[in-house]
Amino acid sequence: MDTWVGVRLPRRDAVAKTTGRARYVADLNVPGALAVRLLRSPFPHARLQRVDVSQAEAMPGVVAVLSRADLIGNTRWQSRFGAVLADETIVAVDKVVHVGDPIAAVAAGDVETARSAVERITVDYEPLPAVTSLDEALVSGAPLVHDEVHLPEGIFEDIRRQLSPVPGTNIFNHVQLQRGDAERGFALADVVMEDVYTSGHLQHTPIEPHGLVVIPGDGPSLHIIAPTQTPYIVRRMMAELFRIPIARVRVTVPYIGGGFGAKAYPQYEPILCALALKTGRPVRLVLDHEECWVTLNNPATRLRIRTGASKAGRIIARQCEVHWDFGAYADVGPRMARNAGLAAAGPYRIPNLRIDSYGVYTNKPNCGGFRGYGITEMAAGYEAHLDHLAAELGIDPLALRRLNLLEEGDEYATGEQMQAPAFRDLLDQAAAAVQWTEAPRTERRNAAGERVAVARGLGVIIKPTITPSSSSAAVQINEDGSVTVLVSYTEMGQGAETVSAQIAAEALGVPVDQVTVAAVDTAVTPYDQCTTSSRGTFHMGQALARAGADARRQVLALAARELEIRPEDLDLQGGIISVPGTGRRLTLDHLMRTPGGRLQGIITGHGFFDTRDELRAPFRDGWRTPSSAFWCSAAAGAEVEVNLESGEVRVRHCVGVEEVGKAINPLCVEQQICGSAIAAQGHVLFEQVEFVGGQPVNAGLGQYHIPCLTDIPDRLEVRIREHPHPHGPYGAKGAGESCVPAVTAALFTAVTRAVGAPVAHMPMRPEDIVRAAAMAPEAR
Amino acid sequence: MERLITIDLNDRPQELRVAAQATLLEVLREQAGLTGTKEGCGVGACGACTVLVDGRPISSCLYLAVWADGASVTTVEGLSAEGRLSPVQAAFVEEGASQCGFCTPGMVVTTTALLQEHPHCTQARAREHLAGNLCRCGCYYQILSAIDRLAAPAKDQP
Repeated sequence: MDTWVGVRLPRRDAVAKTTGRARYVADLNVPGALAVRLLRSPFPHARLQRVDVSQAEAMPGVVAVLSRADLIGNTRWQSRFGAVLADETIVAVDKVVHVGDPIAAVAAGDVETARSAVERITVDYEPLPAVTSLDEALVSGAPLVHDEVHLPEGIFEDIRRQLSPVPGTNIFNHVQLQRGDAERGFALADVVMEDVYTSGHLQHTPIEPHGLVVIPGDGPSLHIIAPTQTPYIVRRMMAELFRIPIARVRVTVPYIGGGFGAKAYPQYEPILCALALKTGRPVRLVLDHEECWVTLNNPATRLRIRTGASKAGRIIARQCEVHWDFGAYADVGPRMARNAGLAAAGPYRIPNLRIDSYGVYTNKPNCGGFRGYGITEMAAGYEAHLDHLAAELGIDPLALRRLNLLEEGDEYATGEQMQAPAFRDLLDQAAAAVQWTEAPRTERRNAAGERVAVARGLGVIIKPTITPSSSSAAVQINEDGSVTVLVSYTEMGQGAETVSAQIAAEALGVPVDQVTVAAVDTAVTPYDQCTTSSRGTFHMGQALARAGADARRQVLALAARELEIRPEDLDLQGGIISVPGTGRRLTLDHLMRTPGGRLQGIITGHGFFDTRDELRAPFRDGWRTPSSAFWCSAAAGAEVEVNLESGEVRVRHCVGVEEVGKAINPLCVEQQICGSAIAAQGHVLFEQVEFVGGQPVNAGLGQYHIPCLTDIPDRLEVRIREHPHPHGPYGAKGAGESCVPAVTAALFTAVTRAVGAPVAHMPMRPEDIVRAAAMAPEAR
Repeated sequence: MERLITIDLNDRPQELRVAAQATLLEVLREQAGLTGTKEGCGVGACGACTVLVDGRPISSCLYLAVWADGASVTTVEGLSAEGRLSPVQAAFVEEGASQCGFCTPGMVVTTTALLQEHPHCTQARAREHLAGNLCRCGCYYQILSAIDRLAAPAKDQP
């Protein structure tokens, strides 16, 4: 009997991508599409006194220019929108709040004309005081990025209850979690330790920049073609913004050339939809890659973490204060401040805990989650902090972790009980794989006489997935027995198409080659909330498994009628319906060509998966329990070699170990773990968006260094652990992100150990390493 | 100002009328309809636009089309003859060397040139040679495995 679960199939999209036939949005031929270019603010904060587009409009070849003139007094459209807070306008109206903030958009016959027209737009700015760091934004009396906080209607339930802005400040969300009594816990502790860790803004840098096409139609109606991770959210938000019935807005999703969170929620859809409606013509925007740096970055962070422990190393209390520098628009900031903030506790048993997590506005380009969703920065901090505690107590860092890791039945920070937590096993595997030794570091001189230190690091993490959420799917058996899978699992490189086919084939009982996965299209593929948060395979996979099972039931019912037999006496395997114990067989093709099959036409099986119903999780004290449909769990180990005089770091060995429930396709899971580990290296050693006065000064892949083939670890090992999850399809749960925080923590702690003194900021640049190493005890 | 150029494009002679300032990338994608070659960074840093000119990998986003006059140009589409995957393409598929796929054409083209020049390519040379092809999804190890598979050991090696 063939099974498609756990099979290392080559990816379905591999041939198209290797031959250049796979089409991305910039490859699409859209007859008559106008080219769009944007005028962006050169100031981080300025009032717009005058916006004059008349010269641009008058240029030959320019069809329309969108500016605030189209918005002021426009009652056809809503005035504000946003992923959580309604703090955005289609283009700037009263003021601009970050360098790069769009002020106007030109639609012209070709890109060169559009670029020239942008230069002809005249704007009079009144520069305003800007806040471009957490310190500046938080000081009492600081200039406000937004004069009021715009609470939205109809937002996701998990966030509405957790939204508490602090009026009169730049804090757009303050999330608090308390368990036990942290102050009392500190009083009881033998040792109390406090550290501060910071990280800079990171840029997602998918190699494909943002781009999209919008085609208007009668009604009016809108067809948005965009490489978006969230087609249904884009559809709903654009329908609401432009007051068009959702039924007249359609989003189709071509292959996404990398997402990582950059292509989630509306980014340029509002501007393009407005231009499409204004001109009545198809419009296309493809960004210059540098423009990604003023579109969406990852937030900068500051984590202040204090832990009280017994002499023996038991954590008694922890207090965390986290600030997220989210730039000028909140986007998913409120959710990130919550989910990532509470992850600052780590996968540890902490009886007395207080976490305060603050989402903060600054006059910089707005931010959204990058793969790892803030858990990355928290993990680097809490693991380095734990190493610091271990050194203070004279306990082996591995032993200290093992003593405090969550075990079966322990309560997590949100009060829920952990079931079958994998942390200890994952950590043990990672430690063994890098030959963790009690001697923390060794040092030698290289051929040039420079001091070189070799050290190991460990990291173990927990990450939630967005909860609650739901997914629907359908499986269709066509007139010839071929199968179409309908699911809105957007393909951004994670293998969505391949894994969807495997799950549907398994649930239905057909060879995987008999299955075609339809392109994501809100007019065709059923509702799914979003392809983010590592939730795809778990939620959409479960919906698909149900849809496949439903289709299977209908197949057997139809066959039973045609063969005049009971359904329970029939089997369906490998696409063949058979009566076991007899020679009677029928292919799906034959079945659909029987009189009953012809009348049926096609069979459609439906599946729906909703975490709230499945997990019977009510809200309690403001926190849903369980607060995550499943927990991402991973651990990592690293061995690094640091030249203490040049600050260069060589990663000799890295291992990522992830608990995935069940690897539907092990090849795809390995790809995810490798990709996560490499992204982690970028976090720790290279990547930071440099700002001067709110202006990003290292935009573009020529200046912003992401790991390349000569940077990556000499040896990267990937380990998959499979303990089936009770609610996942065939036991599977998400695997796309967990090793980003795990490997980040392992590398961060390894380099810190090699240096012998805290570096305390990510990225750990050569100059930071050299400076810290010079101050370390080992240096003397 | 426009110029008429003749190139041997994927083994077929082509005459193209191109603007003097047009890049080879623009001409390939928009005039020749070959969208397999991608524009990533647009400044020659990411390698997504790599094509072969007279067998040498170049960043077509920084290469004027007029410079290709009289040369042979190979794009990713030219590597699979009559729908059959080239050995490099087949190895990439087997090893899972592609995730989002946006860097893949550039990777495949650069790898093809590498192995033509160094059929017994070591892993160290492969890392150096492909350092100008960026992948954000993180396929580097799978790409190295594909090259390992393809790089025949040298006759004087065990």
